[in-house]
Parts: sequence; C-alpha cells; structure tokens
Amino acid sequence: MVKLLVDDAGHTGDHATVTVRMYTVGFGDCFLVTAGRPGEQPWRMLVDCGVHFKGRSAHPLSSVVADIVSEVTVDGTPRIDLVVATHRHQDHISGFTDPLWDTVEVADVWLPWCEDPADPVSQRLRTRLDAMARTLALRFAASDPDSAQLALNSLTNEKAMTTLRQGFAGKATRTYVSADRPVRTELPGLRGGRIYVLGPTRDEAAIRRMEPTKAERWLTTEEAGSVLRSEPSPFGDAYEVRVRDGATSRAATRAEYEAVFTDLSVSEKLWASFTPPVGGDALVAASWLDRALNNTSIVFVLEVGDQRLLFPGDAQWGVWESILTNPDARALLAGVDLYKVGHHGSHNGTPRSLAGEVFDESLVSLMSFQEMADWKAIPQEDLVESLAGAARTLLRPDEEPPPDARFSRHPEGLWTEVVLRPPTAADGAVVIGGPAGHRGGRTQHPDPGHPDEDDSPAARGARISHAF
Amino acid sequence: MPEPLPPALAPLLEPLPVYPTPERRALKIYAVDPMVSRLSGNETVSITVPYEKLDPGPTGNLIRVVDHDASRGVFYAPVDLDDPVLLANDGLSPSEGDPRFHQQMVYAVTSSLLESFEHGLGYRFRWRGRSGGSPLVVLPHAFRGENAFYDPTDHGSVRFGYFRTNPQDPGRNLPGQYVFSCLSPDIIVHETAHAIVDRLRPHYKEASNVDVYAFHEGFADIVALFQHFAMPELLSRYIQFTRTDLTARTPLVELAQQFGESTGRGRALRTALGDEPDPAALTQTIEPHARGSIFVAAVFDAFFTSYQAAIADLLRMATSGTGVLAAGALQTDLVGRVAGEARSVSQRVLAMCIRAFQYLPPVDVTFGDFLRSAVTADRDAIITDDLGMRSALVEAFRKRGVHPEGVSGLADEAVAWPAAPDLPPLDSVKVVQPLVYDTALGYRVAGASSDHLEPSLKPAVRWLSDYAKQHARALGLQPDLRINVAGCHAALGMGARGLHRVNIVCQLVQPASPDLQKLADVALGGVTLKGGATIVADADGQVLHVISKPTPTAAGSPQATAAGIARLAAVGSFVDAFDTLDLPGPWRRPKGAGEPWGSAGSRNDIAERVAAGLTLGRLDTGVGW
Repeated sequence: MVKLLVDDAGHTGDHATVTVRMYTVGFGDCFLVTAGRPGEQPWRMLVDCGVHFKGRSAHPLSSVVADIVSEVTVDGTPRIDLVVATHRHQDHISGFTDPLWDTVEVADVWLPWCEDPADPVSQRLRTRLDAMARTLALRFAASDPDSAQLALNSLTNEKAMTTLRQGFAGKATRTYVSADRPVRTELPGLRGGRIYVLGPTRDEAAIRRMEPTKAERWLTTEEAGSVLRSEPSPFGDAYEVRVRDGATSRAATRAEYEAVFTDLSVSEKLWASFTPPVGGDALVAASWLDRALNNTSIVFVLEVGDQRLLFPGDAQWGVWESILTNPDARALLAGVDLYKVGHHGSHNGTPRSLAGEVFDESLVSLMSFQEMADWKAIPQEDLVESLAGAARTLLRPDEEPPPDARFSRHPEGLWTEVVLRPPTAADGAVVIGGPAGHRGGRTQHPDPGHPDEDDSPAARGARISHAF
Repeated sequence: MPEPLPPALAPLLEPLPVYPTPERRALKIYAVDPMVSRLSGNETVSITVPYEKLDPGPTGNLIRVVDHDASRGVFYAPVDLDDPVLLANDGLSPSEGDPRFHQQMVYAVTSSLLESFEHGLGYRFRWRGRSGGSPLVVLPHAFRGENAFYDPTDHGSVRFGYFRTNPQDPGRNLPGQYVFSCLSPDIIVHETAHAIVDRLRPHYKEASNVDVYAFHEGFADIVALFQHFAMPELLSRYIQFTRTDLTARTPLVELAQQFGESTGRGRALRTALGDEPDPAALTQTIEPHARGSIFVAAVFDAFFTSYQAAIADLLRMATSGTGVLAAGALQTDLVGRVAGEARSVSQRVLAMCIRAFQYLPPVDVTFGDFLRSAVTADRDAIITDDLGMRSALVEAFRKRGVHPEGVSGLADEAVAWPAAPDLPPLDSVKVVQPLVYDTALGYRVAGASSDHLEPSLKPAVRWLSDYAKQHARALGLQPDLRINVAGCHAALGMGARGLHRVNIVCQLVQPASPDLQKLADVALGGVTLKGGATIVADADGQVLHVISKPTPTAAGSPQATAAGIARLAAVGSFVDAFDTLDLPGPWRRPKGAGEPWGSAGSRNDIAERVAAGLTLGRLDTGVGW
C-alpha cells in the first residue's frame, strides 16, 4: 500500500452511483454497498454481517443472507468484490456461519490485523482475550448477567471466523488491515474507486492497551458469600468468638458478642453496610474487553467518484482521538457524505466533536441498532439529535425514511437503502466551477489556521452553558 | 501463717497516692508491611500513642476497632490493651497469625496519625456526630478481597480486606499465603487519611470537577508516604543504601509493596516517583488514583528539591567541595545528619500539606487551590524560605500542568491567597473568644474525654450565618439563597518568629438555586451544584483571606454573575470529559433497576456513574481507563 497524503485530486464529471443497503438485523451490523456506473459491472462490498444474540430483529439472519446472495447474483453466480469484517464481535460476524456463503465468490476479504493466524503477537492476544471472555461469561452468568452478556459478545465464533479466513467460493485474498495514519488503496475492481484506511493502529501503545493484565486481576478476586463461610479461618479456630451450642459450637452473633465484651455502638445502617463488596468489578472488566475488541475495528472511508462513505465499525474514543488529531484524516472526514453510525449509536462510538464540528451539514447517517432493555443509553439521545437535526438525515431501521428520492425501504422492513448520486444541474444543485467544485465549494485541504482545540474543556463547557 | 481478717474487720485506710495516668502508651507494629519487614530484617518497631483508657476491641475515644469478618460471618477475639501483661510488653509482638495483633496495629497507626493531624491542624480532632462525635469504626478483617476502602456511610468506617496471594505471581511471598491489608501501615494511613479528609471537608465526596477525587487519593498517598520519613531506622538504612539519593526506588518512596507484589503486579502499588513531568498527562488522566499520582509526584518533587538544598552544605563538607562521595559505605555521622535533615524537611512539607486545609474551599477543590493554600500556609509559618520549598512546589506543579486560576504570576506572593476584600471583622465576644476557648481547652490531653469540654458554640454559628448573608456578594455567594455554616473553629499554631498564631476558620456552603439544580439534573446528570467560601481571620477577628467558590448560576438568570456562569461551564466540561472516558458507562444499570436514567433517557445519571466509577477511597483502582 502506498502512503500518500490525502488530497483531493479533483474528480471530474464522474457519474458513479453508490447504494448502501442497511439490513435490519437488530442489534448488529450488515451493510451491502453497490457502486456502479451506467453500463458497467456493479462493484459490491459487504461490511459485516452479524447480530447480538439478545438483540435479534424480526428478520432472522438466514433471510438477510439469502437476500444478499440473491442481490449479488449475476449470471447465476453470486459475487462480492470485497467483504470487510470490521472486528470479531458476534454482532458483526455471527452471520458468516450461514452455509450459503460457500456459494459466494469473493475476491477480497479484509480483517483487522489481530486476526492474522500467522502473526504470533495477534495469536497470543486473541487467546488471552478469548480466555477472559469465557471466564467472564461463565463465572458471572448467574450473579452478574450484564457482564456475562457483554462478554458473550466477545467470544470467538469459530465457524464464522473459519468462513472469513478460509471460506467463500473462488480464491479470495485475505488482507489483515492496519494503518497508523491514513493509507490510500486503489480498488482495482472499481474505476475511480479507492479506500482510505484510518485504523486500526498496530503501534506498541495499542498492543499494550490490549494486554488484559489489569483486567484479568479483577477476575481472580473471589466472590463473597456462602462459599467463603465454609472456608477455614485464616487464623485457626482458636481466635474465633464461638458459642457453645449443645454438643457443637457456632459463631457468636452480634448480640452475644456485645453481651460478653463491649457494646459495639454501631447503628443498624452501618452494620448493614458491612456486607462484603461483590468480588472484583466484573462489569468494568467486561467493558474493558468490549472496548479492546471494538478498538480493533477497521475504520475506512470509501470514495467512489465524488461520494465519500465512512464506515468506522465500532471504534471508540481512543481510536477516534488519534484519527481526529491527524489533519489529513480530519480533512477526509469533513467531506463525508454518508456515515455508518459507530457502535450502534452509543456515545462511545461517535465523538461529540465529530458529529458537531467535523461532519458536514447535509450528512446522511445510517444507524443499525435495536432498543435493548438493559442498555437504555444506546442510542444516545444527544447523538441522535445531532445526526438527525437541521439539514442532516438519520436513517433508522425502526422508522420509515423521510420522503426523498434517495431513500427507500423494503416493504416488510428487511432493509433501508440510500442511493448517492453526483449532483447534476437537473437536481437544482449549485455547481461552482472548477475541479473541486462538485462538492459545492467545500475545501478539502486541511485548514492551516484551525488548531485542534475543539475538544478543549472550555469549548465543551461553553456548549453546555449555552443550553441554559 | 496468720489467717486473713474477714472483710468486715478489714481496716479503713487513708487514701494513698494513686499512680499517675501515663501520657503515652507504647505499642509494637510492623514498620513496613510484613514482607518488606522480613526481607529487610527490620521486624518490629515500637511507636507511642497518646494514652487513653481502652476497652476490648480496642475501643477508645476516637477509634473503635470491630473485628467482624463479613465474608465468613464471624467475630475474632478482641484484644484488651489494658491487660497488665500487654501493658508491660508494649502490647502483643508482631504476628501475622494472631488477629489481636492486627487490631493493636490498626489502633496504634490510626491513633498516631490522628495525633499528627492535630499537631498540623492546631486543634483537637473530633469526628462529626453527637456530642464529641462518634468514633471511627475500623474493621481489620472486614472482607475477603484484594482491597481496602473508606466508607462514608453513617459516621464512616474503614474496612480492610484480606486475601490469598496470586498463585502464579505471588512476588516475594508464598503462593496462596494470606496477606492482610491491615498489616500495612501505608494502607492503614491511606484509608484513615480519607476518613480525616472527609471529616474536614465532607463535600469533597461530591465530584464536581476532575480534581476532587484525585485530591482525596493523592493526599492520602502523600500522608502515607511521608509517614515513612518519620521512622529513623528506615530513613538511615535507605540513606546509606542510596548514598543520599532519595529519588532512587526504595521502600521509602513506595507504597504498599507487599500488596502490590502479592496481587501479581510485580511491584509496589504506587510510588512517589512519577513519570517525567508532562502537562499533557494531566489533561488526559481522569481516573482518580492515576491523577492523584501526578499530585503526589509534584509534592515529592518539591520535597526532593528542598531536601537537596538542605543537605548541600553537609555534602560539601563530606566531599571537601568535590561533590563526589567516597566509594563504599557512607560515614555514620554523615548518615545521621542527612537523616535528620530529611526528617525535618519531610515534617515541614507534611505540616504544610495538613495546614493547607485551613485555606481550602469547602467545595470543588482543584490542584491549583491546594497549591495556593499550601503556599499560604507555609508563608504564615515560615517567613524566609531558605530552602526554596515554596518556589520548588510552585515549579513542580507548573511542570505538571497545574496552573492556579486567577494568579498574576508564579512568585510566592502572587500564588498565595490574596488579602480579603474589605470586610468587617468577626465579632470578638460572640465568635472569636468561644472558638479559641473551645480549642485551647479541648486540646487532646492525656485521658481527656470530649464530653465536658465543649461549650455551646451555637451563638457563634448564628452570628456567622447572619454575617455571611449580609456580605454574601463579597464572599462570592448569592444573597437570596440559603447559606450553611459548615464548620468553624480556632486553630492554634506557631507562627513566624516563634510567636503564637491564632486563626479563626469558618466554612460556608451554599447549594445552587433549586431551579438550576433541576435543569442540571437533566443536562448534567445529577451533579450537585454548590458554592462555598472559607473565611480565615486572625485573633482580632480581622478577616485575612476569603477563599471563594462562586455559586453556579445560569447565564440568563437575574442573579447571574460572571464567576457563577464560569463555574457552571466548568462543571459542564467535567461532565463531558467524564462521559467520554467512562468505560462501563452505557452498560451500567441504574441503582433503582427498572427506573429510567436521567430524564427522558437523555444521559446516564452521572452522579451515580461518577460514584460507581470513581469509587472514593478504594485502595486499588478499577480496570484501566
């Protein structure tokens, strides 16, 4: 891959059309991208196919896969040019267990760098993270279902991974993607098409952050409760205050202790608070695991002609921070026309500055999610408002899209679709002359006089006070 | 042998002199935790604490040790430190296997710490609560777990956990051996310091900015670390070992080493030595223990600088001006003198940190506030700063990105709190005299119980309340809202030139307007908005300083002030930063399961998430941020 600075070389009169179909899988992602020009073979890309086991929609994955396969069939053979599995969470890959995939000819499969079977570093990390997921899921299945649920999403799906690494028909090439700064790849199968890969990084710091040492410590902490009452005393029985009870002895109660020794003068409230803390912080450990895997997401911008589409997988703040501090990446993101909302609309997945300042006013967003009883903060209200407000459009699987020639929905709600076409004079769009003009005059070059201070506390604080 | 007389015929003796009540009680403890003690051959140390009559437990005036193990549901035998056998022998000998020694050690270290604070603060320590206050409840074996924490519920309790070492990586312990967090003086001091800070500033439990919890953690670590320098054997040993370079990694500057190694970290839990000072680190670190470590590193940086200035002449003499110490062991006399200097510099730094509390605002503390308070406290006690400690402190904080607000420069005078605006003096008869009397009488003397020493301070509180309402604007508060007198006391101490210094300190707290709080509950997820002011006056009642945190106001409201709007904005940006970095945020269920978060599900209840995520007083942190 050649590393080039991002620039807008000026696209002239390109009539490429890009269609993005968001499948209503539930709490998960499945996007089919079709790019084409009149008279040419359409180019197809599939980004993720999976659903969280607890967040299935009314449309089973099997019907989704069947629809994809029929959609991509040309002359009797189903063909996909590029399959991207952004990261290994179940809600992004569980659909790849479907046997239908064996019939689909795929040219290229992209996986994040940590899936590379030949890389010992990735291998070791995967093993440890997997072990952690298993421990969390098993150990806390009964006592802490939230953590267990989160952890189950991170368990390895062997069948799906096998399909991605070795399956599909045809001789697909596998690429294990990483990028420490924006990297531009031309797409051979698509004239005038390219992908800018913005992440995941593979630097030392990223690998260190994925080491689960700290999180593992929290799993060795034992649980409180009846299990421990039967354990031997750390001091031997002689030091315990015990009361004779017939032929045996038992531990003294508070009243008995006070009768013999001294009044404790401890209020009922305080006494009740002495119950031991629940072992470890499983939810924090599970959230850590979730984030570690989310941050291995492939973050990329697909550029076809004048259309730019951003697919960030489930990348969270740490990844976004390094992307947003790169002026080339920022410039790239400013020109995005379509945004696949990261991490199902959680506040983790889309930084405030991205939605508020970087993105364009006429942005179209696709948010694939389903309301989950336990996770009320997904999608986050502020984010939804920001992406749906003013001249922007937010397409959700649970709502009819606004009346617009670009948007359509399957009659039974199996998918929602967006068609992006270059503006023509017939659309009434203002076209300012010059090669960069097709974007309505927006400058694509990094703005030199624009220091990266959008995330400073003062700026953010100012926004809050304005709300009042 | 003559037969004993029956009781009725026993003679009535004139009373003979009784034994004088002792002033101090000696008790044995581990100087460092059991692992380091064993490895360094430094098994036992005897410390002395103020004498008081003790019931089994030990149960005393300020401290009540309750050895109840909630994980196993049992009590362990309480120790009776007034038993003649124990009195004769400085208490029980150190033993990991006898829980009564653990109770003794916890009592001794806690009592010693309270005494240090009293010396530093200049008045008798009392817990809050019914007359005289309720003693702090301490549970040396509260639960099975790799942690220890201070729980502010009710009157406050400190709980120590115990656990078995990590079988794969036990450090320099046996795999699977029991480790008791109550046997580490570092951990006892750290958690008790939380209790003390909570007593002095109860509103520091409310995280209204990113520094509040970090200050709690950092301060507790500072106190724990400086206690090391109070032990002469430890100090001499490591000065010899490091050849006077105290910035080397030794148990002197490390915290809870056994705890750290036995939980698989391979090193001490925390250290006074931070990373290279980097202002960027401060903006990116919001986890309280990590952020507190930056605070600790800054204070220690100042200590090391002053220490080096203090021993400069000794080293010049020892090296005849070359600056290069001879190879091999250092001369004993030199080590002794250097240790003495280290001890006195550390005492001055610790006293400065403790005395700084007088000048801290009652709410919303920041590192900048602490810096200004510490410099002011030191200036009051020591006029000429020949060790350059104050400038070292300011520089150490500056290097780490702490810039106090509203200062015009970094010289001492600029950083110290300014002179108060023109305010009438506090009433001498109604306020100053009763407070000074209360402190002077109540100073903790041998065997004194607190009950009969407290004259009624109610008239003073009432007077101060009226005064605050009258001069609310000058204090940065709103005249139309309620103002609480959160505390008032007189602090006695030694000032400059060996003269006594008397300061009257009064803390005022004002909750923001209920309408604003309602708005904040939605937009800011329930963070409580408060303003406050600390008034420091001298013996004449003349107001010396007013340290004010203006009550937050909304931009449009009629009572809005520029300072109030700025404070609201600052809270907003804290909520934003926390929101972005809060790891388990979207996954946490609200406490009242089934209830919606915030209003219209707009944002998680941040007050709850802050409390859950930044667990105050927990010794060990959660998983990485």
